Amino acid sequence: MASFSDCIVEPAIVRRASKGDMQAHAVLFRTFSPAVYTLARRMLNQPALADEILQETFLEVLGKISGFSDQGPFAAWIRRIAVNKCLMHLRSAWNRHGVGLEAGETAPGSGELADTGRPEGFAEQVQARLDLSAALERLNDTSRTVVWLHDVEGFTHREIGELMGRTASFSKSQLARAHERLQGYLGGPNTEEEKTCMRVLKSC
Amino acid sequence: MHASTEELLSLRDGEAVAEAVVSHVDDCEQCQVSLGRLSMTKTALRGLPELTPADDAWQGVLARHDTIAKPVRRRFVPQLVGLAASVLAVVIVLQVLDDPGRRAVRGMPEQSTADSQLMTTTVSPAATAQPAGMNASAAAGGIPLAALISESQQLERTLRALPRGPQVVSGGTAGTIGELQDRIAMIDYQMSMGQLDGDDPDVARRLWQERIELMNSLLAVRYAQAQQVSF
Repeated sequence: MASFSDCIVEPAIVRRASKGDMQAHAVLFRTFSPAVYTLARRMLNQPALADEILQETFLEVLGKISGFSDQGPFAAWIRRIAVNKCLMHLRSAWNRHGVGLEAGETAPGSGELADTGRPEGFAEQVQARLDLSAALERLNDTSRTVVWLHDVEGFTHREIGELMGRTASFSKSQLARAHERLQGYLGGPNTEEEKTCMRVLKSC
Repeated sequence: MHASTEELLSLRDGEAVAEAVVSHVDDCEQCQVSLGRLSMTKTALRGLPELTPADDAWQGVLARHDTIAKPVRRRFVPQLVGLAASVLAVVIVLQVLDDPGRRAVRGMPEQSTADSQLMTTTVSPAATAQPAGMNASAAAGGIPLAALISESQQLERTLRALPRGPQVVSGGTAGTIGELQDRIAMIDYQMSMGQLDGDDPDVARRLWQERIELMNSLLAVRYAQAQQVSF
């Protein structure tokens, strides 16, 4: 997994980049672009938008790196820029389409899971629906964003609340709802052991 | 009553949870199973595969960065290219109309120095337009003419998408690029002759095929050059 915490860059590269060294800029891009792109794809769920966020993030990095000081980890700085870009896009989409934060999930069978009419294609897509990635894509923007920021990127509920202009409680409840839906999309207990537990303990 | 998902998530993440909830989960296997599934989901989310951006993503960033950094200078580049192409087209047409011995040109060697000097660009409007009277069916027994033209146009788009070359290049590279451009220009010239004269499809197909080969060579050199600059 491309996580920002896995991205390690020498301080000397950052210093060179801050002085306008284009080769250092390229090194930074190669180091961080998978993490930025993955974050954007997971949060926005659209490859074209993820490309846009990737470009915008690095344009801001290149534009502001001369002012970057060692006030914090470089990876966290880039991650914050990328997250803000994604959230800005989501906010603008919400405003543009008049869709509230509580908008529902993508309906089953819509988007990338559409039936192509070809038996083999449909079978592949049914398989994909069982996949966690596909389940994640079906969540609404807010739930998906909260899940990704909290469970993968490690943001706290308070931080997520601040980023989204809400409260920590909002983030907590969104995370819970998202996980309930994910479990639903992924199916009930799968293993025999789990099924037995569920049967025996129904009256718990 | 079972622990809520929110409470189980707090337990999973080591956050503060009411003592009664902790006690319940300790004794309730169903809640433990649910807690286990939440933990597994988190692990699985973190294990989702890395998604990689397109290979030319960095070129896209550089192009936009360049646009922002030099807005005035860049704004005129497309117009200058268009102007140069128009001037070239006019020169070609005038040359053709003024030269009574133009038919002999088609039989000349590919690398004529005199004619190379006449053509100094790789992109001629005559080269991108399909010659009059020639269509896909014209290339009987070979690759359709339309496919060759389309491939040539695609190569030109790819070439244009590459970042600008460095200010300083080696003599060898510059020479190779210059030679390739001259040879492409010569083919463009020959094709413009053919277009005016109603050339036969086989000749047109041969010229387009040759042009594609040269464009491929030029693309390879320019790509290698761009790689050296970018990384």
